[in-house]
Amino acid sequence: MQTTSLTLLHRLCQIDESDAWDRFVRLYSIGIYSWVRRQGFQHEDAADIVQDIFVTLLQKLPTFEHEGPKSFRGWLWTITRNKCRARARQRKLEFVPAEVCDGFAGKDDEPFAEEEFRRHLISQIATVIKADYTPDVWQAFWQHAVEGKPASAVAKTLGINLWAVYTAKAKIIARLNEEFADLVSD
Amino acid sequence: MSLIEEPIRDSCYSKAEIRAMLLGHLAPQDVQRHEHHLSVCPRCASLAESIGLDSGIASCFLGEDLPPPVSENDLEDVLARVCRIEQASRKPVTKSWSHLDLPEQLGPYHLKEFLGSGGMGVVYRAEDTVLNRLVAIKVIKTGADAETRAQLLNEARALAAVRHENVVTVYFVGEQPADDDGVATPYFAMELLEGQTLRDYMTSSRPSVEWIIQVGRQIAAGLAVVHDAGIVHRDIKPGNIWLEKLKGETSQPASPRSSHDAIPQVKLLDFGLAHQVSGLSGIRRAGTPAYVAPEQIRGADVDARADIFSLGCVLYELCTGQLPYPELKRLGARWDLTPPPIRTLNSDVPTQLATLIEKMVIVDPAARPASARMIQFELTNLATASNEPPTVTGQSDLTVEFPASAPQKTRLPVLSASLLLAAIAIAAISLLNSNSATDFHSDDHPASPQQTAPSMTVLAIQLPPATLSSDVLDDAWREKVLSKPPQLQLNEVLQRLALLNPKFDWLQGSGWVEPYGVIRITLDADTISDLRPVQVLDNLRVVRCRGSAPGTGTLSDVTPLSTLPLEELHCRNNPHLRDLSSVPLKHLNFLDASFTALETLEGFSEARLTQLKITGTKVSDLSPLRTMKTLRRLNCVGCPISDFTPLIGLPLRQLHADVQADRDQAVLRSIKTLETINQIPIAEFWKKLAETGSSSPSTELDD
Ligand SMILES: [Zn+2]
Repeated sequence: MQTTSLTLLHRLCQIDESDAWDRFVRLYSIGIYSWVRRQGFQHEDAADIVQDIFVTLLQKLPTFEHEGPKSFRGWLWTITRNKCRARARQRKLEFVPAEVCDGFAGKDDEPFAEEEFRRHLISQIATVIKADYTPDVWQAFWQHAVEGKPASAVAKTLGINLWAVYTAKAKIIARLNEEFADLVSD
Repeated sequence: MSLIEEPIRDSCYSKAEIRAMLLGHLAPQDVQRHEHHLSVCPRCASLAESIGLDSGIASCFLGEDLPPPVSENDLEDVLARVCRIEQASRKPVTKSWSHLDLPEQLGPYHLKEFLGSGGMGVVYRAEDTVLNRLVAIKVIKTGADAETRAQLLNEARALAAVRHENVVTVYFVGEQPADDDGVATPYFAMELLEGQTLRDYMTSSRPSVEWIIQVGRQIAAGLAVVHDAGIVHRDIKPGNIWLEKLKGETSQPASPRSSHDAIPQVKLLDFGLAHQVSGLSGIRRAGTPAYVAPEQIRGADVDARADIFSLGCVLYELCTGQLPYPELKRLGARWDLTPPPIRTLNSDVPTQLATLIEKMVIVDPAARPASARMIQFELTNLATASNEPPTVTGQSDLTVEFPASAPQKTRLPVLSASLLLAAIAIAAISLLNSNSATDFHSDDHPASPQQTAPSMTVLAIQLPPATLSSDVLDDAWREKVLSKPPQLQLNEVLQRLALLNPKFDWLQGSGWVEPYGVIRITLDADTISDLRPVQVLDNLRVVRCRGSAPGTGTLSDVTPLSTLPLEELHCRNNPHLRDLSSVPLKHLNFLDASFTALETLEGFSEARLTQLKITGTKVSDLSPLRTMKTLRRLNCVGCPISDFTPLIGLPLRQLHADVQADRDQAVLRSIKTLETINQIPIAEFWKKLAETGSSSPSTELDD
């Protein structure tokens, strides 16, 4: 297997890098949890589902064959969807609102649901990497690359030079593409 | 703006080149030229401008079309649950380390291999090129803000002062001066160890009761000195307890229940990997939930007793194979359960041990044993009891001390393994007190008479002053030392100390270095009696030269310190040290002369001390303190003092002393600033004193 990029997942499987693991846990547990809540599950159920998913992940990650950026996301999506279905089925016996089950009944809206799942995960990336940067660097990236403000305006607001804004942006984007390739690449 | 209209100059770049230059991948000497070009060339600037995020990603980052964030409480619960699984099921992974932005050289350390990272630190295996030995170097991440860096350095500094066989040794704390990005890189050097964590051990072996007692005793001993240094570990757990491989130990596992189970040398690890932060990340970093004390989980201020709880959990688990509060939703509020009695789970555990451990894991900190020292004593007694006949010293003789020259070729990265296990909840450490000199009371009780009685017949060995200039401090040597960077100055001095004090292993000395010089030094008075080389370090603020126990120190002469701008002097446990008249008082605010031959405080009345410790000395007269309007804390247990009136009018807050109700009550009650006596809140103290009569109550053991 050619390892072109050192993705977060790849690093998890290859080496034991606790920082990467730390980010992994936060990103995925919170991302999955918020998506599961969005499907209508209450906190206790959603937390149980996340816990279940991690039990599975921890069992299977060491032997997981990483076959390109999308496969992990797809694999995780499958696990998550199945756990949600199982929980919804189980809950149906306990008089849970019907729409919770409906969401997992068929495959009709699957592409949409998977995309939404991915968006929930991506939305957590910023919170897990922000702390690694000084506020100026992070703000330069955020205002310029995320909010789309011109670099010159950002430089002026932050009182730093244009070069600093560009380098901040380039570095963080490069890291996103490398470490979170599973999520940010199509 | 149209790109086509811009002239494409020879010096222009492609988009890929611009990306590479922004990422710092091009030659560093060209950076200024690139920066200038981007500032004057609209074409290249617009290419730089166009490097961007996919709009879908940016939209996710902004939270568009996503529900509002879920509540912090819910997230904490989710994270805590995942932490628990992670802890329970994660297996050690074969290491194949990668190199990540490996800086080549930090001070004298040549970084060789990336070992791991966690919290705010990245750990490398490194070679000390000056001392020619392998060490672990922890580099504080540059992402850390100034305040965090300062705190981590403070913690490391406090830890560096701790020298104990059961605590990982920090050799050096320093800072690489700022480079181009204007940020200095703090780092520290620690010993590399060989062996495994207790966590790893527990997955494969069930220890015998003797093993548990001996290992527990060592953990408690390590904790006791750490607490003495004013540090609370905050994350005592099997993954942070290192079992150093015994010399000659084969790789064959000992039979699980054998009473001849080799007792490993214990080292406490993972200090200062992270510091406590609030909110969501606070949960992650405040410790590993399974072993963390309830008050710590609540976010209350914690003290040494939080570590005692954690140690109790570890011992409970070793004895029973399960945690005392396994079912609890530990981040919730239900602490009203009592753990199952240990002997119902394992009847091999002696009652006395079971009772001790059960006390350690009591939810209310006030009901736990008050100090790690006390636990160490109890476990020592138990060890002796279970190992009849006792060894000569009454201590386990199975604890093997390694010479510093132990073979290093097969040494494993100690910190990496612990980092590996402490993946989510990373060790936290905190200073109890910004003054790392804070001591715990137990230390200040005089030990048995034969240990403490200063032998007045032994004269201080004074070297003739003539030798001072010739062999030790000649100008050439002084010049040579001062021409070096501060860290190497420290090394030079330590080496020279070793020449003069043959038993002193200079690799065990440590210091704190600022860009302008060495400001602290910590030496072992058991092996050091001649301090003269120290005087070349004319920025020294703190000198620690303590004996390891009352009666063991060999220091008798502190005149070499007379020219230093000393703020703290720690010279306890030096039974031949009688004369402190040469100690410079101008900046001195802390003095610990407990268990020395000091007889009088005369001459100290000019000093502006905030803390004074003279426990176990022959000092009988406190009147020189009358003018010391700065004194907040006095330890004078075991001194023949019969009159506390000189203390009236001082801002004293804490007193450790032998107090007699009838004689002293009126005097001491008139000191309105007093908060505690013998670590007992003042009101409670008088109440207890009334109950017990004349003997002075204390929270600690009296032996
Ligand atoms: Zn150009």
